[in-house]
Amino acid sequence: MKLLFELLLAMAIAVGSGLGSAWYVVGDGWLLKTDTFGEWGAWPMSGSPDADPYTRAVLARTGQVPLSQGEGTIFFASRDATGAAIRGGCEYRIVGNAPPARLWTLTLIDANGNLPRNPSGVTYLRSDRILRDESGQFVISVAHKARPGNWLPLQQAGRFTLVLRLYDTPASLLADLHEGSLPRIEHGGCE
Amino acid sequence: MIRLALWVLGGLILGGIIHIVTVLGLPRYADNDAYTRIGTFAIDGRLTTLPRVTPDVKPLPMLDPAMAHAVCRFSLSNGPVRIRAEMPDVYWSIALFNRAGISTYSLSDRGVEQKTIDVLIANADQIAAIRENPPDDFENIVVIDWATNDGFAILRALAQSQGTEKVINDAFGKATCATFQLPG
Repeated sequence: MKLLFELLLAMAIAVGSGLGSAWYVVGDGWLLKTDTFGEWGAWPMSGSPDADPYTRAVLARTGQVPLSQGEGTIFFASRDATGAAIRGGCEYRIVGNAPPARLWTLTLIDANGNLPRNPSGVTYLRSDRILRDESGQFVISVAHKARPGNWLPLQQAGRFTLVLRLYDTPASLLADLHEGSLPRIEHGGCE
Repeated sequence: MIRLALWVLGGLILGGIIHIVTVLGLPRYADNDAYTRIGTFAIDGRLTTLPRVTPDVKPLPMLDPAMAHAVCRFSLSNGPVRIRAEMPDVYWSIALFNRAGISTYSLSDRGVEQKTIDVLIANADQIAAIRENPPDDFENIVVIDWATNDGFAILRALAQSQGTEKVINDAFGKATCATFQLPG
């Protein structure tokens, strides 16, 4: 009886710790965003021919087609500068400049990877259509309701991740970046 | 007490093995990877234009709504595969992925400084056969050494306006992604 209990305990620990830790790493893949700059994180392995086993597992599980290293780099942010999760119904200001790239786009995705639904129909912003001040800096309002200037529509509820896709970036991009190279995500209050 | 600790330790070691087996085995048993998904809506050996990404339409995960996309699954079983497209004057790129969804090659409009995508994907034997008897326009073709038998390509082009999107879709429509018959 004691042996059976011990055997069951060991099996439970094995399955729980084994599957639990595997899910912890490949679940949302956030741990694989190895290159972080403030709130933003990049996952350079996702577009590399030398992808590690964890990256391979996440790609296979999610079925996503990443940007190849030669195509560009993607930065993700699911928290604002205060460390709070980015939520629908709240307002954010993205301030600063983007790293060097020929072109960039900014989108939002929800927890299932879908674009937010908004009556305006706008789902992305593009670098060549962004309004900037004299010094080249921009301010982007992320909010449910329309805002003057650069506005990226957000839903009224739910958790969201900002996705900044840089196309045709220099090969040494990630090595040359520092925290100030990416725009700040300022929290602007909630409804 | 020591006996119980040993059982716990044994459980953790077995857990480590389960962790490794799960992570390594996932790509093999994933039934929803990019290659499989593309197979559900696209015909192999033909370039398929994807619908634009919207809140309601997501042909594949993590595609940029600013871009127009086309995909093609290919197999080298019947010979090398040639992908050709005359692209309009916008930002575009083509990336090749193996069966497991690992990116192995990419090319953008800046890299070739011409508007034509002309890529020949071939394994070592096929490359040797091509070198022996090269086709006429061989100098303009980018030959890619492919280690496995199959994979898929994705073309991305910046849809600057509705007008450009139409031009891009026309270019995708005329593009080919098919087995290349070796001369002779």
